[in-house]
Amino acid sequence: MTDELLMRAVQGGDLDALGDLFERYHRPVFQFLCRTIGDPAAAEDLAQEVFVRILRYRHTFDPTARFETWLFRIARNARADHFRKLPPLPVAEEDALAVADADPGPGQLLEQRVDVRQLQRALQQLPEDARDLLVLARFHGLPYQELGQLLGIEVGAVKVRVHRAMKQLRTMFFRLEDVSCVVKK
Amino acid sequence: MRCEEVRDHLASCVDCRAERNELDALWGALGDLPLAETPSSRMRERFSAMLAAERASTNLRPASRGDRRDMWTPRRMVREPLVQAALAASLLLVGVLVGRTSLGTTNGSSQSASAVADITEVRQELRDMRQMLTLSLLQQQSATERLRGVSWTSQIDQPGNEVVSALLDTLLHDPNVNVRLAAIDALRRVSDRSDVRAGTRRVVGDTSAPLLQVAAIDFLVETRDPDGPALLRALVDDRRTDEAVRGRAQWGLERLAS
Repeated sequence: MTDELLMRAVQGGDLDALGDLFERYHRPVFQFLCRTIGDPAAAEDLAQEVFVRILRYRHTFDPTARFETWLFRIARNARADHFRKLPPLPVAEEDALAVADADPGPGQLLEQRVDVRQLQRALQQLPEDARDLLVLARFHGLPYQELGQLLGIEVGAVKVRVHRAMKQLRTMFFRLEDVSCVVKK
Repeated sequence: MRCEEVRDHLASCVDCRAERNELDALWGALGDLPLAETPSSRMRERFSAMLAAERASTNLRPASRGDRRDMWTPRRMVREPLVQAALAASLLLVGVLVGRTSLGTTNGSSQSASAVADITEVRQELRDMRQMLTLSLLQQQSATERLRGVSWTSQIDQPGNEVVSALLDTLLHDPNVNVRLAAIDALRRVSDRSDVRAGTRRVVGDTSAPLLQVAAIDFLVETRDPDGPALLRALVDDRRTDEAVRGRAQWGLERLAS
């Protein structure tokens, strides 16, 4: 059954359908939040909040729209509300970004140049919109059209922003590399 | 610039080609980043507790398929120590009553008035016991237990002051928003009480919990609270109000005006 049909069932009062959506999406939502805020504990709390909001605001879902886009919009709003109440997080430390699986994998194809942690740190330091765009496009595979709906912009503008975000990431990545070289010297 | 033109430019411009290669490499590396973490099992437990609260507090249809382990079934209730104690005490009382009633029938009709009094007494005892059980559950450290306490209140015919006060306290101060949401739904039965209305009005202004604000707005509209329009207007006008809350407040204003 599609996500949208499940969500229609939730709107009709079928709570089991929400359980199915939870099984499908609690990990992607958690991953999105974890990647964009760098704090697994806060990401888990917020992911929980996302499902509470789905239930509470179920009547606002448009069944003709894509569920995943609506879901990530709720996740972004929940995160924004969370940080509105709290002081901004300090830049994530390496420990907080420690990865569960240290296996380098195909990332080594970059002639050993791309340090995974450095890339994670660079990603963390991007402005929120740019970070969201890259995480949703690259990790969650959201099509540009859906990203456009999520951000309220045209597909062409999404492409421009993704390109801009990649350039920002590259600048940040090499800046961190320079800092790292200075520290090593 | 068309694709072909871009391709031609990349073929002739070393700098742009280098930039393109770097961006491609970073894009590839991004996709290869391992998963940061996986959510803990606590997340599923909390979700189940949230669903249980929703089931307890609404008339949504029960599960018809899938995993029913998380539902509060009668069989599961019986395994709860507090419920076991209450059941044991109830059975004891019923046994004493049956025994005394049986003796009464052998001694003639003069005993029937006494039996009726006994039944009334037993009913009162059972009511007190339910209230005690509810109050005890509401004090538990686990949010799931407190949710059960809130849902138990629906089994009390006429919740006394103590239970209503405990529910109000839960509504205003419980650290878990799901428990608070269940409490506001449970308080609907006693929405004619002034303390319940006052408590709900306080929740309307609690910006730390937008979901609860939405539920409190619904409560104000359902009970047609005389202070409702002013409170909802203040929410609509306040720029800090959550967008969804503002929308609901606007809806509430329209409903109250009709």
